[in-house]
Amino acid sequence: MRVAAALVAAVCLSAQQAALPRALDTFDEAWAIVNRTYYDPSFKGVDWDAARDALRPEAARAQTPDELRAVIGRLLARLGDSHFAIMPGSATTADDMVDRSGSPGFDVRAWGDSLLVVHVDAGSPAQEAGLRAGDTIVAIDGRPTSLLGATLPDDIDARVRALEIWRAAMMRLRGPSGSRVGVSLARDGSTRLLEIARVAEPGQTIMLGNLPPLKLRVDVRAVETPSGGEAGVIGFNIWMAAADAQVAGAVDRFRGARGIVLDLRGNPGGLAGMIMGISGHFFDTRTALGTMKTRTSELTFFANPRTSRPDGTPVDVYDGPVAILIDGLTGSASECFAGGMQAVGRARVFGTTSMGQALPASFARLPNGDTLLHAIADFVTADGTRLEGRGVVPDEEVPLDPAALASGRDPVLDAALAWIDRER
Amino acid sequence: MHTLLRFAVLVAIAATGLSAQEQSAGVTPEARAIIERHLEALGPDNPSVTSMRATGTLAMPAQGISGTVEVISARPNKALLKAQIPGIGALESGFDGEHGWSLDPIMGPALLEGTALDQAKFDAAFDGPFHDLSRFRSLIVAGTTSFDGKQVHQVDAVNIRGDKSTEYFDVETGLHVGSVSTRDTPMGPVEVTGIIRDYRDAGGSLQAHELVQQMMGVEQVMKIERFEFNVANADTFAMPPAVKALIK
Repeated sequence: MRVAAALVAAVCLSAQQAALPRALDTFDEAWAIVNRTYYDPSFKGVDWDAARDALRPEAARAQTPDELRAVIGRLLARLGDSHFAIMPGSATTADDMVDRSGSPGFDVRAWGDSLLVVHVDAGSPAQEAGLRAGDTIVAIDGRPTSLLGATLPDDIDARVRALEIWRAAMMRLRGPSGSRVGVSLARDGSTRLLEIARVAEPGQTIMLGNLPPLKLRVDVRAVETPSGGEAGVIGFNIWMAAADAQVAGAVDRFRGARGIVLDLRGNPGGLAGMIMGISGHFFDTRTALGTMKTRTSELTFFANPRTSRPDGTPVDVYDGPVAILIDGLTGSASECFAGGMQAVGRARVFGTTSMGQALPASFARLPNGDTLLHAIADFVTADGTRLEGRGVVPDEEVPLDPAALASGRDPVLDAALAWIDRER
Repeated sequence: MHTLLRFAVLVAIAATGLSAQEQSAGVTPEARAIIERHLEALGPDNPSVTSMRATGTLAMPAQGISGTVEVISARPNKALLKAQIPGIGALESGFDGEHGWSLDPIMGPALLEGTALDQAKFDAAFDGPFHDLSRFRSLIVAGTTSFDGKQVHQVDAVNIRGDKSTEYFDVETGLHVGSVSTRDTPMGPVEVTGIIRDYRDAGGSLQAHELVQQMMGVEQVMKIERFEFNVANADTFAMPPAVKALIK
């Protein structure tokens, strides 16, 4: 009888392992990676061994990949830092399997129980359907936007809430190219429904290791300051190496402009080292912007003066006014850049406080095929400001203004351009 | 000859000959014996070899990043590395005998300065670190330990620049199998563990075909698939125009 019971138990265990192979390996490896690389050897007072011991049995009991991810998520959450996440290696739920390569061509921000349209791509299906910046979206495919944040804890940080609502909104707005999304918007006291086609998201596809495919967009345009001078606006949506040449070309184009505006609103970060190259367009001497503190090293992010073109032509760095635009979806490398430039007085920052998720991180493949994003360093700006949890506080706070957006204005950019005029 | 991973971010491959070593006051007889055994294990030097080109792959396995790499070195102290990494692009670095430099889409073009330049110059020596023991202030055997799964002799080294490192030599084969050192990068000093594996014959002596760097919890692996000799010419180590323009 005892033998039979043992056999049954063994069969059950075997069946569990077959249902979720490598669960414990995956949990152990995630724990070990953090144990090896987390920047604070004291683990911020968290007993990291005890955390493993407490949660490992739950990992062993996990029946699905999502259950295992939830357990690892609870382990990582004990550190209370940003830049810890599990990215599924393969689709495991119906929601994961949705093709989200198509976009209707607009961006939003959380706005109370609704979503505020902050930008509509020129020539996009959204624009053709009549959507405008400043519109308020109250439902997506019939589901009220008030539900987007319904499952979030009441005590969650307001910026994190806004970020999670944005993510949830994007999950619903995106879908297969060629499909349509129903967007209910409130305008002029009435509600109307727009059926908007999704098209392939514009931009350059970037494949970098285990990361999911990324779309790089660099938008460059000339605008007039209030006094009629020319300013260059350079915006990019992610810090990927392919942006470097395009930004360099844009700076070259605006080398004689009255000012340059770097638009990092909605830019969540990327390759942090790039802040040295991009900032170098605005410094004629090697200048420390901030320090990355790992467990064993302190590495300084220096602006690397960009005094030559690829063909070897010498150039002067841009020495005019530089404005940086940020908002609550500006994160990570974008924060290190904006905070660093602000700290040394080389740029003036406009908009709303950034994410406050500014830890340099790495990523690693786990045994089950998922990818672990994990913080490996802290970051402080050259004036000693720690950005994690705080964010970059703009020099000029310019809140979202639906009425201004609806009238075709961009108050954050307007404030930057007015400052550029004052500086010259 | 052998190959040796020396740069932390830049990488150079240098060839080490078997020529006679000069006396160095801080090199103990025990350490000298270990190094002579290593040089002997590598095989005979070929003085007619003036340059070497190694090609293969450069990867960060945990991150799923992999690309191609080409490393060229020449007597007496020139080195060039070119890597092509999908998602990042072209990474180049070098030392032309006078200037150390790098060019990539992360930092843009840059000239090495200060201690990073000094270290690049030291590392670029074609004959490698152990060919000429006068390059060391001291080499002292600290005992045996385990490293990369092998029983090794541990030799504590201080080079003529004052840089300290811990060097490991396989007890069984005598070969140099790795080191732990602090590397000067343009961002500051970083502790790097270098692992040297897979010695095989190339050009009549042993060359390491796998070089691993571990720093800040990240591992980078270079695997060499092919060695060629005497392939460099006068233009091989010329700096890219964007870098050359930085020289004042």
